[in-house]
Amino acid sequence: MKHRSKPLYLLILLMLAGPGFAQDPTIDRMIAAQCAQCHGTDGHATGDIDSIAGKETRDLYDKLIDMKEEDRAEDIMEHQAWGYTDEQLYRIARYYSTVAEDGDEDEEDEDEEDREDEDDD
Amino acid sequence: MSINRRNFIMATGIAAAASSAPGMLRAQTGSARVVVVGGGFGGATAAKYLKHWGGNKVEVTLIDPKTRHTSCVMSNLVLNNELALNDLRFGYGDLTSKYGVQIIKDTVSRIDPGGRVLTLKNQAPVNYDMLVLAAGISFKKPKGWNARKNPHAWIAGNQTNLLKKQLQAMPAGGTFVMTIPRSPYRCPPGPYERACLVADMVKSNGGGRVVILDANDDIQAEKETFSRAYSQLYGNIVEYYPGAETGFVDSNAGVVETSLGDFAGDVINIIPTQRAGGLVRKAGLTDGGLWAPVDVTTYESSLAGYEDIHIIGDAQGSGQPKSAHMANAQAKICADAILRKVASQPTDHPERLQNITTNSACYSPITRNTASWLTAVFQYDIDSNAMALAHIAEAGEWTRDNYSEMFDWANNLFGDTWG
Ligand SMILES: Cc1cc2nc3c(=O)[nH]c(=O)nc-3n(C[C@H](O)[C@H](O)[C@H](O)COP(=O)(O)OP(=O)(O)OC[C@H]3O[C@@H](n4cnc5c(N)ncnc54)[C@H](O)[C@@H]3O)c2cc1C
Ligand code: HEC
Repeated sequence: MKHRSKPLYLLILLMLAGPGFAQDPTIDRMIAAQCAQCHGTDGHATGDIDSIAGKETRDLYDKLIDMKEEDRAEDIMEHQAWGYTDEQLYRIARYYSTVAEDGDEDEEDEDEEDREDEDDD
Repeated sequence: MSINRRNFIMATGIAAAASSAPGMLRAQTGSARVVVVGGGFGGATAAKYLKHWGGNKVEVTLIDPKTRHTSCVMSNLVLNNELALNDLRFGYGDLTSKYGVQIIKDTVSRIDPGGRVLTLKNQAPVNYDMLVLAAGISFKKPKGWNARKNPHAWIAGNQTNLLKKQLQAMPAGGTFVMTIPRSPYRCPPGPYERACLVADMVKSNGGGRVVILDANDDIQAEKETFSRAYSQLYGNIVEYYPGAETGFVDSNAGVVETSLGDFAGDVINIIPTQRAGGLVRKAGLTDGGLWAPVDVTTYESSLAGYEDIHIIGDAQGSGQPKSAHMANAQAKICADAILRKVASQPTDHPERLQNITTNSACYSPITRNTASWLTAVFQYDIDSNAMALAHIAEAGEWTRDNYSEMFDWANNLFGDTWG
């Protein structure tokens, strides 16, 4: 279903670049933050879920549109994509293209401190 | 890398969150003071994103009586010993060291909306310019109920360990009874998932009964998955009674009286009716109801006289599911709104309103090594001034892949909240 994404991408690009169309990057950021529960803050994920930080807008957008167009969505991610408008997916992709990619440094794995059970309620 | 029980928390890099001494409150000229009450999923996310996005424009203080928050998310896996409660405890060290959030370890006992002052249980009063309340839920206790005998385990902590101990001591062939309150309550699939895990334990322990007394008329979430699991996996164990309203609970005798009759159990798990925590109710923020009405574009109270008081997470009454993933989602919309207000910018212009979205996800273990999931995306609807469901889906099956994905999801959620 790749064929649909190309013209659509250009259309959205034109729409958003058009005169009078606000492009507040903090709105991109607000929508994109809704992906962070699963993909980590600013797209820096841990474990087997992929980081989406620093990806090309176009690549990310195409992937998301492909997922949205999946006729028989099965994965949780495809169903996530279904919840957003194409324009929102574009703005999300644009946001993640502006943040730095995952660094090479290892995740901090400091020693787990010995912790006592705390008293609750 | 594959996440399993042993490296579960290590992989997140947030386990070592140091306990931090309450920071001295310093007034920074020109920056607004935002105070966040509650360091659970909603509050910690709000505090973090306020600083992450707002930098020096805001001074953020988080108040919570505990040094570390114990996550309800994944806590059903403590019951069958797949996780230890300590794996689910998160401190506020990263919020301070990475983002500059100041921490006060105390309980807020009173809110003065006019004077914009919070009274604390032990320390000096705290002033705020903007307030975020994320103090979670409290219970409406059924008559006769003693939580030390019949745990709720619905606010994670000692209650979770108590229920675990009782389950471990349950005799073969014993009966587990669980009550489910009327919706809305915290974590719609949670009780049904817990029933599955207990049934799984009972099954490998020589059999027994799992009796579900549901005040609702039907399964409240992932109906397809849970009905199939109850019949296919646990057919001779799970007994599901819809429309069973809990009345008197005789904790001494171990009997629950319901609208469908009396039920005795060896282990009784009372999940009571829920409402916003006492702090929010006593301040008048629920308007006499169970939950706090809010404007979903900012999460500010929609009642008059409570300007700049925001309520997020389980305590607010917008009708979105009461989940940790959702509390985190709302916190970001709220943080965005507060930062705009602080900068004297509008929060209600079309570009913003058209892009207010939240989403929820719950992974539900169905056996000790398989899980299903449920996810939903909400979009702001201008006409109804409410969050409308844009898409919802459930896995409809339980798999090992979902089970391991559940750990990846949880680790990322924990990291996005406290890391
Ligand atoms: C068994 C179980 C399983 C669950 N599974 C999932 C799941 O898979 N996915 C999911 O998304 N959600 C899940 N949930 C739901 C989730 O735990 C809640 O929706 C979430 O914790 C709500 O966040 P919150 O910020 O509103 O409140 P909480 O996370 O409960 O935080 C409230 C905080 O406020 C503090 N506080 C309370 N009163 C005061 C006061 N007066 N002063 C200062 N601080 C105060 C408390 O100490 C606490 O730290 C589950 C819940 C349960 C019980
Ligand atoms: C409920 C959890 C969840 C949420 C929320 C979520 N994702 Fe995902 N996402 C996943 C999982 C699980 C995968 C599959 C594993 C993988 O490939 O990373 C995935 C995969 C992806 C992929 C494919 C990665 C690749 O390189 O093939 C992209 C792109 C992506 N997500 C983007 C997003 C964006 C953008 C959002 C916000 C709109 C989002 N996700 C929200 C869970 C989630």
